[in-house]
Amino acid sequence: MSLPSRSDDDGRFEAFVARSNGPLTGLAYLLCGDRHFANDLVQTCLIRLYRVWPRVRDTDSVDAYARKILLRCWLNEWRRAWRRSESRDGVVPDRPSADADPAMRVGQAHRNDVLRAALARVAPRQRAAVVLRYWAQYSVSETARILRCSEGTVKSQTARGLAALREAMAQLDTDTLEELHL
Amino acid sequence: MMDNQRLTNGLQQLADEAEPRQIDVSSVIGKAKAQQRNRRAVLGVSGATAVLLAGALYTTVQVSDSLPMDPAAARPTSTGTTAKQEQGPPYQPITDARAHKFDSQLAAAKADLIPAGFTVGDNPVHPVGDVLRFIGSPGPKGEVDYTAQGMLTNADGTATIQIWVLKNPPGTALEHYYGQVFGPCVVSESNCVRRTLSDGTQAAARPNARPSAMTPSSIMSAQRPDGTYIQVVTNVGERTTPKPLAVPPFDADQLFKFATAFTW
Repeated sequence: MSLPSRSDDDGRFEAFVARSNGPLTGLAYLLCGDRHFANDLVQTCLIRLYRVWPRVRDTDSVDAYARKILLRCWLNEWRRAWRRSESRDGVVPDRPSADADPAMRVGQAHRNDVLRAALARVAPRQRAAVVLRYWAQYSVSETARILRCSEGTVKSQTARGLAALREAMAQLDTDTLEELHL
Repeated sequence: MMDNQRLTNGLQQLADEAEPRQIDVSSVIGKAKAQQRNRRAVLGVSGATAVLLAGALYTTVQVSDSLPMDPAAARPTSTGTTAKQEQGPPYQPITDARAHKFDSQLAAAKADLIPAGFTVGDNPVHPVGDVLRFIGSPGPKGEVDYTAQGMLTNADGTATIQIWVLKNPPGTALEHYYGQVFGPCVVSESNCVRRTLSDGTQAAARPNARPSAMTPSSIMSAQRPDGTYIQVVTNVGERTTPKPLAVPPFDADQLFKFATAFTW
């Protein structure tokens, strides 16, 4: 059996990027709440992933590994003093979709605004735990491996994250809460 | 009670907001390879330095063994000091000629840039040490970003100020860069003022802006024809300064003064 060539590796990497760009951008956006920063995080994550790509053989675990790298990139950026002291958002509105009902679109955009603002109030590692558990649907043990902590810590971080999310949501009006079903 | 499935749905709808940027895989691969080369070079230099130090230490031990022992000279030095010296930021702050150049440019324009009545000092909540002095740091794409930070104080209160200077290819249009997310004005921003200055610099100012999830800020981003990208943010966020002003300093005209203050 011959070792895979560099071009085989690059081909595999290209296929991975095509498949994972969307999900990784979604995860980055949920973590940082900023579209442009999310795209930058994905690019940084892919650069780091490529550096170890020839050693990545287990295709089943590569998604979790990429998410772990993305999370580390985000936490590293979060620790940078200027980013910590200046919470930033810079939301650019979506382009209008021709086939969507305008009222529904506005309502959805409002609900997204509310949820994004609430997530921004949750501490970084708690936010990561909530997003990995409830968006990425990882189990407690999988989340623990990605966050590099114990399962007990994941449970407590998730519970605290949900409580913080609930507290942030409590500041909203009842109608919005009803719409969000939270 | 928060329903887990509904939370999942809400997060999914929020995640769908983020449109993935087209990834240039060959560019990603090129940057990864460049980083690997740099890393190997750094490791090579570190290895050579370690070998030299080991050699020097061995020579020192050999020489000292052959000399008469002075008990005072053999007294151990403070290891605490050594350990403290070894601690540092995760990256080496870059204070190179370009940082000094930006310092000079800021010093030259400071009287015009900082409004009367404000003094500039350090922020006791998030001390920076070098107040409004530019320090470079490696950016996410291998470039160097230069940042100067400080705190503005007047009789009414305080506000943080941060200035970023980056470099883009000459002729680049005003856009969003590297997490410095305030680019051109967008349709819904009523308080965003866009201006093309006489030298061709494109700038957008948002005085007393309050984007969602952000405390009141006055923001200016500018793209100069030579590629210099400048962003200034004054912020009066709670917990970021001891006595936040009610309104962030700088109107649009004051913000635009920063747009031509720096040249790469």
